[in-house]
Amino acid sequence: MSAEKEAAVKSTKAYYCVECGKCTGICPVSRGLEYSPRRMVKRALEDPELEFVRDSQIWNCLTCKLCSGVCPSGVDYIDFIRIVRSRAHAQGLSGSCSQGGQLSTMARMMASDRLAQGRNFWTEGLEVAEKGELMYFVGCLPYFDTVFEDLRPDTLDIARSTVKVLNAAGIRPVVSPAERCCGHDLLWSGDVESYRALARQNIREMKRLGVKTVVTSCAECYRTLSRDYKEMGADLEVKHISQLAGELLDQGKLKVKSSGKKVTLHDACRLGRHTGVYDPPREVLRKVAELVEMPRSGPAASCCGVGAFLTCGAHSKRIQVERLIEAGAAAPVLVTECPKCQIHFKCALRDKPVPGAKLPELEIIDLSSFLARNLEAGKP
Amino acid sequence: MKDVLVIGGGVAGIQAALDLAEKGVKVHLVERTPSIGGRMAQLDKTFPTMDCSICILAPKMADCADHPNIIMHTCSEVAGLQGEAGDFRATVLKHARHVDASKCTGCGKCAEVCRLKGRIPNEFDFGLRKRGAIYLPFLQAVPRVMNIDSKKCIFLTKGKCGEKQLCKEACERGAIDFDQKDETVTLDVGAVIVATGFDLFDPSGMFEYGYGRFQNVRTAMEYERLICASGPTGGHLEVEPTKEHPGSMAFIQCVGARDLRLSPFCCSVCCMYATKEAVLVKEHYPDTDCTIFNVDMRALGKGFEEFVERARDEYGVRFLRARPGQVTEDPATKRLTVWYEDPASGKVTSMEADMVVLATALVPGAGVAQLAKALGIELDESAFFKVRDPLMSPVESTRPGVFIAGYCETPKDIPESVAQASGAAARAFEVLKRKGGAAHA
Repeated sequence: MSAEKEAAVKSTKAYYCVECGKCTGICPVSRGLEYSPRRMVKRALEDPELEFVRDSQIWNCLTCKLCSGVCPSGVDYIDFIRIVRSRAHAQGLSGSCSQGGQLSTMARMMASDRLAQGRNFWTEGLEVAEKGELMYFVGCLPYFDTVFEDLRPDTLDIARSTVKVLNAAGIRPVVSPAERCCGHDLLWSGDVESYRALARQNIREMKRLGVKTVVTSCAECYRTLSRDYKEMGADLEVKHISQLAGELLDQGKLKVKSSGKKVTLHDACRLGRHTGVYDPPREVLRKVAELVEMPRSGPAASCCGVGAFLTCGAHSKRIQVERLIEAGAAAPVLVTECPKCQIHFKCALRDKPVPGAKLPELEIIDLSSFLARNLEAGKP
Repeated sequence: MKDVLVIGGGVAGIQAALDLAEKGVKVHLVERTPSIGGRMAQLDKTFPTMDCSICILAPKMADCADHPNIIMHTCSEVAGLQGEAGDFRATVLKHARHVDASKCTGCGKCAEVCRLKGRIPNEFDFGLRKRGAIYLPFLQAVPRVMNIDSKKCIFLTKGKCGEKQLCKEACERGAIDFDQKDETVTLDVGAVIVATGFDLFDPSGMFEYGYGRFQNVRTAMEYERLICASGPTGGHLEVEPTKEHPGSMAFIQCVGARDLRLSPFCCSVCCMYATKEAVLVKEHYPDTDCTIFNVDMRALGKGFEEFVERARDEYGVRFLRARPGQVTEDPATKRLTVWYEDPASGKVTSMEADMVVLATALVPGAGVAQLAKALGIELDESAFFKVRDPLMSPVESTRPGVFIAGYCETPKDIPESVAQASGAAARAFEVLKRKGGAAHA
């Protein structure tokens, strides 16, 4: 058995698979595309050199982790897919990025040592620090507004809102001009080498700035920094803004008012099933709005339909439209915890990609943005 | 000759108690709940013969009540066991029933007037029927004595129940006794038989099947009550909200069982009871479609394979080797959709069902660790009671003089539990004989 196969089937417990097909039964991709997690595992087990990685099906997985959540054998299928994709990448293969490779190219460019980014242009009027123990990891937000200009997602509003919330609690977070993409998409696209280069640079920069705690407004950054950077030797306390805001609210350092609105929450895969953060966003939201749960929420939440900008197609659109209709039935406002979920949903809401499907009137807003709009005026 | 202590009043405990009593041994039968009968009393029919479960069990329960050599201690728990084989002292905690068993006839007039009547989910029907604070656990309960739920009773929790205690007023025999206290008794016994059965795994935590959220997703034990003529619907299977009988049913096997994260073991009875439950649907409503989603069919008892074949060929039950990944509900109609990978095509397929029945894992009881400690015996890695040697001493616990019978030792069906109970009774009798003395009676 090759070392890669060993990693793919042993560390992920894929060899425990008893072919019950429960994973395929819940997989959102299998309902629309020629794809079966069970068969993927079976092929890996029967294929000594993992030649099956040449099959483009390996790029269909959304890595949403619904399958692992129900697997009676405890197979870590998304980790399995990550390893399989890294093997494919090593053979020069890749999935077809829905943005023509633009986002992954930008991430790879950021891996360069000699890089001068003008990424902090948005901090004007906000209190940020150059050095300190608490850092706000902004992630790709300054880039999304440019790439998705036509959609006007205003993702920078998420960044500004996050800092506003922190400032309201008397916190001046570090915002580093040398921060780079966390590497999430590259890691899940199989480009482990570039991911590692980004991770090393971010970890080095955080060390240089004396950072001990990192707060993120992005579910993917949260997973990558809290889980994957640990494997790279990072010694950091990582918090999603919902966790930190919850603490600040409990301590009375942050004061909010009720919006009087009815909202529903879309759990991001990376925050929910990947890292088990289900309650903090809900506790924070309940302080500013009336939270109505969708039928599929928490561990059962649906995926936003796209993983690592790899899989956007007609079926992704169907997943999004279904979710938007579900959200609309629950509340007029859909709150997201991850900027990418927001982009994907806004895209589907604008494009109306499924003929005949009646999309609801829906306001889609990020948790940080929603919180910042409902801060009690004046510092406590 | 010394007495024997039997812990657990299910079919295994009942059999062990009757065997010993017939040999002239005095038996103390300790049961945690207000009535003996256990799980078998809750079942509608038994496989593969389709006998009425309570019709078989009720005479044995009555025999226990009437036998001169059997002393029943209901609402009771064993708290400790000192001494050695042939000479034990067992500490038994008897919870107050607040009803004098020597006076109560179980007429139920008190229950009719209880201010909480119809407000508390009853245990026997898994909450499908409601009871009051004073109640008879079920129709065939033994002993036929009313019981007061001390955690719910208004008088016992608040010290006052309206103007007067209506139950006390209704009782013509003055059997209600609010001053009754818990008491601890010590029993001198020569041997102990543990037959505490199983608990049911709660599937609400498995989000994929929607139990607890979707009204028409039921556990197999709930289904047993629903299809039972003496159950909450009089045996009519009703789908919410239409109250019509189901046109299509799905049975999902191994829910929480054969699952490395929950209970890794096979519960050994679910393949057969699901087949029985599907046949029951077909007997009630021949037009209803029944599908049993199984991991593999385990039909290894006498007549079992034939029973499965009859279910398939004569009754038209469909058996599908697949573990469904998800059950979804149409919020408007409450109709369910079961999603699974079709074993023949390998494609994700869905089927609509009016009712889904989950064969939930049958797991060691919640109190086994505490009981094992009280008795000084060991549990195995799955929290079943450990036997000294699974090959040659399959009824002996790790402490001499203490024997194990029924499901609490390892998953097994009714006849196997009965056989093991008789085996345990025989071994217990040997201990008494070794210590000498003449039998009672």
